[in-house]
Amino acid sequence: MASGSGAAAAAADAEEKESGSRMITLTSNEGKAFVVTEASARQSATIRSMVDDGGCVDKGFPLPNVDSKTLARVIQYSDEHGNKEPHTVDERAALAKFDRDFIAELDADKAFLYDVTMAANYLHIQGLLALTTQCVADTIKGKTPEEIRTAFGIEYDLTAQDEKEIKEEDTHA
Amino acid sequence: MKIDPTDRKPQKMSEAEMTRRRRRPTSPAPAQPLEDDDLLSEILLRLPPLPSSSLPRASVVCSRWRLIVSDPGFLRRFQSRHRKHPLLGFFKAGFRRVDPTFIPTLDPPDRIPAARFSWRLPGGDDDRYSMFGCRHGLVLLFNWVLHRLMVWDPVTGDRRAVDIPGSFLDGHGRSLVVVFRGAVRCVVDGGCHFEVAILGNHPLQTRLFTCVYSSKTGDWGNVISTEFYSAGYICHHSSALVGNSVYWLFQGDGISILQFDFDTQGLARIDVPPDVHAHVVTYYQIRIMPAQDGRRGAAPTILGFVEEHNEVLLCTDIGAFMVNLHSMQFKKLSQTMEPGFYHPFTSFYTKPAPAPPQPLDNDDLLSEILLRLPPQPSSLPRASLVCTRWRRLLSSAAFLRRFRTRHRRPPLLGLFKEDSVYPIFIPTLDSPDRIPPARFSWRVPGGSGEDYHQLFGCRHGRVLHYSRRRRLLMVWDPLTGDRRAVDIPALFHRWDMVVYHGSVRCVDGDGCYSNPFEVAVVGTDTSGTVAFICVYSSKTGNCGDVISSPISPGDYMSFSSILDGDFLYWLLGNHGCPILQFNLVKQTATLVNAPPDLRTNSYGGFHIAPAEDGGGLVILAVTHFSLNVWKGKTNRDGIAGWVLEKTIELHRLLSFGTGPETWAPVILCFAEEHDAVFLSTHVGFFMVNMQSMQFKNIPQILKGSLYYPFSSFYTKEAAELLPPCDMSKKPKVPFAGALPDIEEYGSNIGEKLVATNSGPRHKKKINPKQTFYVGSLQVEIDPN
Repeated sequence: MASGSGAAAAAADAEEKESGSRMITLTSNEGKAFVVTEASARQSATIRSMVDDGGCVDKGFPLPNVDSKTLARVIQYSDEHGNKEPHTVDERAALAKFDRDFIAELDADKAFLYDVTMAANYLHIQGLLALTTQCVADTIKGKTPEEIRTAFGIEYDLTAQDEKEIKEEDTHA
Repeated sequence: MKIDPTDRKPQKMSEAEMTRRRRRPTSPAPAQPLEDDDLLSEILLRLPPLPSSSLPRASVVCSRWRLIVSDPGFLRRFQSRHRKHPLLGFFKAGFRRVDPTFIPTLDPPDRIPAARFSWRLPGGDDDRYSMFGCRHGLVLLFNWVLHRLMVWDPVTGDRRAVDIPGSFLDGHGRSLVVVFRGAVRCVVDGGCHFEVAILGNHPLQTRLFTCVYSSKTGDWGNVISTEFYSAGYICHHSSALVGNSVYWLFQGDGISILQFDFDTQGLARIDVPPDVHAHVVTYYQIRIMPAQDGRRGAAPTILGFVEEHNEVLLCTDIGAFMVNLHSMQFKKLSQTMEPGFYHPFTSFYTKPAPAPPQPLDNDDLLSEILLRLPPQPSSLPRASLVCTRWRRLLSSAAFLRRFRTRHRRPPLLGLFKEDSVYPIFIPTLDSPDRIPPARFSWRVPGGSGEDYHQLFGCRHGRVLHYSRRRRLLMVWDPLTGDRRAVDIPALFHRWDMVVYHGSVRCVDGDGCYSNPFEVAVVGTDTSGTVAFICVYSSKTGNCGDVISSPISPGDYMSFSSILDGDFLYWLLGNHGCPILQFNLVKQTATLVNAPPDLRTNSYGGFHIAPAEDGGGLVILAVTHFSLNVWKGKTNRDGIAGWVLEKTIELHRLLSFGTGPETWAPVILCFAEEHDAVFLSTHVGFFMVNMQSMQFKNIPQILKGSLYYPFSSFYTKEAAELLPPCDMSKKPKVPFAGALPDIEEYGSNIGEKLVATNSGPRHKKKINPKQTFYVGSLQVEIDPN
C-alpha cells in the first residue's frame, strides 16, 4: 500500500511538473518578487536549465540584471507563450497578434525596448529576443548611415579614407 | 576596455580652477595639500591599486575628487605607476561545460563578489565557450562552434567578438585549421589596445598555424605556418608572457615549451631540462613560469601561476596557498581549491561601474539585429558606413555566411537581357537598392555585334554565357567580375554537333562566391535525334560522362532550364512539347510528355516551373487571358501525367480590359528562386508571385528578347572571398575545344585580354578579382 501511494504521489508530482502548474518566484534587482507558472518561467533557457539542474526552485531566482518594470513586461510575454500552447490556426493567429501588439507598444519607447532586449538576451528567451532584435533591425532598415548614427547616438569614427573605400566598393551607399 | 585617448583635461582644469577661486575668499588659510589639484593627483596616484580602498572609493568622496580620478590622463598615470595589475582572483574553467566561474582571492573590502564577474552569453551557447586564459584585465574565450574568439573585460562587461581568420575555414564554414590555444595581451600605445595570438593545427598535425589579431587595426595579421612533426598536445593551462613572447607548455614524448613571439611572429620549441621530467609526477603539476623554469612543489599541486606577481597558487592537504616565489612570502586562502584549471585574473579595478549596457553595444546582440536586416542590396553597405565597429562585424565572413543562411533566397536584382552584342542588365529594384546596369556590364570592347552569343540563364548568382562563334561556354559572376571558361568535351565541338543549352548551379545552393559550381551542357547532332548531356564540375575542372537520350527530330530547346532538387528540366519545343528531365546525381536523362494540345492552345507561350509545394514540376501556359497551371503527377518512374491545378484569370488579377484589339499576355520568364513569373501584357510588364498572387508593375520595357532573372546577395565580401588565382592548384585538364589561336576578350572593367593556346605566358601578374581560366590556359590581361 505504502509503495502504491508513493508511486501515485510521484506520478502526481510528475504530472504537476509536466503541466507546469508549479509556481516559481523571480526577483527583480529591486527586490520585487514575481510569481509565475513554471511553464512561463521555462520560456527562459537560463531559468529552464537552473530548474532542470534541480536548482533552488523553492527559494526562487534572483535576477540581478533585470529591473521590475522590465521583468513585468518580460513575464507578460512568457505568460502568453508559456501558458498557452497554440493548437489551432486561430490560436496561432491570436498569438501572432499578441506579438505584434506587444512589439508595437515597445517600439514606441525605445529605451524600454532596449531594456527588454537586454533582459531577453540575459534570460535566453529566444522568441522574445527574435521579436525585439527584429524590431531594432526594422528601425535600421531603409535609413542612410547618417540617419542610423543619429537614431542610435553612434559616434562617427570612420576616416575619410575608410568612407571613400566603402563608397568605391558599393555604389549604393 | 579602451581608454579614450582624447585629453579632456583643459576643460576639467578650468572647472577645478573655478572651484579654487570660489574657495579662496572663504578659506584664507594656507592651502592644504588636498586643496591643490596637482598635489591631490600626486597623492591619489599613490593609493594602492586595490578595488575598494582605491579609486572607486576616492571617486565618491566629492565631485572634485571624482573629476580627478575619472580623468583618462590620471588613469593612465595610475596604471603606469603601478605597472602590475592587482590580482583580483582566479577564473576556474572546467573541461567540457566551460562556464568560467570567478573565485575572488582578496579579502573584504577589496573582495569582488563572484557574481560581479559572471559570464552570461546570448544565443544559448554559453557552454560552448572554452577559456584560453586571462591577461592584463582581459579574458580570452573561444567558441568551437562559431569559430569565434571573445575578448571579455569583466570589469566593464565589454565583450569583443573576433572571428578567426577566414583562411582557417573552408567555404562552408568548417575548420581547416583547428584553433586550440590562444593568448591575449594589452598593448599600450597612445591608447589601450589588445592583441590576440592563436595557435592552431592541421588535422594531420604536421603544421602549426599562428596568427595575431590587433584591436587597433581590427584585423588579423598574416598566418604563419611552422612545420611541427611531434605528436602531443598543449597542456590545458594558461600561457606565460615574458617580454614579447608567449609560452605554452607542450606535452609530447617529453615536456617542452612552445615560444611564440608577438613581434617577429616566430614559433620555436624549447626543450626543458631533463631533470624536470624526473620530478614531474603528472603533467598538470607543472606550470610555465617566467624566469623560473618548472619548479615543483612537493606533494602540493600547482593550480595556477600569476605571471605579473611571480606568485604560484598551490593546493595542499591543508588548504590553498599563494606563494610569492621572489619573497617566499605566502598567504593561505580561505577558499578550498579543487583540482582544475585556474586562470589568474589581474585588473585595475579603476573603471567606474559600467553604464547600463545597450543591445547595440553587445557584439552578439548587434549581430543578431543586423542579421535581421532585409537582404536588399543597400542594407549592408549602408550599415557598414555607420561606424568602424559595425563595419568590422558586417565584413566578417562568418556574419555574411549567417546572413546568407538566414535569408536563404537572395534578392532578385533584375533581369539579364540577351542582346545582339552582349548581355544587358535591367535592374528591377527601386532606389536605393537599384543596381546601375553599368555595374553588371559584360562589355566587349571592339565587339561589333558579330559575336553571336547566347545566354543560357542565371542561377545562384552566376550567369551562363555561350559564344557560338568561339564555341566557348563561360560562367560569369557579375558581382566579382570573375569569368571561367567551362571545358566541355571535344564531342560538343564537332562540326556536326550543336550546343543547345546549358544550366549552372552552385553545388551548395547558397550562391556563395567561393563555392564550387556545376554546369550541365546539352547538345544534339545536326539531325536532331539524340540529345547529349554532360556535367562539368568546377571542383575537379572536369566533365563527367556524356549521357545521351533519344529525342524526336525537330525538337528544339526552350530558352531556360528549371532546377528542382537534383533534377534539371528543359522544355523541348516541338508539337508534343516533351520535357527533358536530367538527374544530376544519377546522371540519367529521360523524356517526359507534356499535357496534350499545350502548344496549340497556348498562344501566350508556356514555361516550366518548380511546383509551389516544393516537389515536382508545373507547366505555366497562357491561353487567352488565363494562366493555366498544370501540375505533374508523379509516380515511381517520375512524371506520369498532368492535372490542371488552377487557372488564374490575368485580366481580373491585373485589372485590364479585354477586347478584340488587345493581345493576350505573354510569359517572358520565370524566377525560380522567387516563384515569380514575368508577363508582358498590352498594359505593361508585371512580375506575379505564384504563391501570394501579389504582383508588381515593372516600369522598364521588356520586349523582343529573352530575359533571365538574376538573384544574388549583394555583399561587398564577394571579391574578398574569392579564392586567389593560383594556377598551381588548378587541375591540369587538356583543353579539348577549338579555341582560336589568339582571342580577344573584354572584361567588365574594360581591359583588353589576350588568350593563347600555345601555352601559358606570364607577362604580367593579373588582378585576382579578374581571373580567367580557359581549361588549363591562363588568360592574361594585356595592359595595352
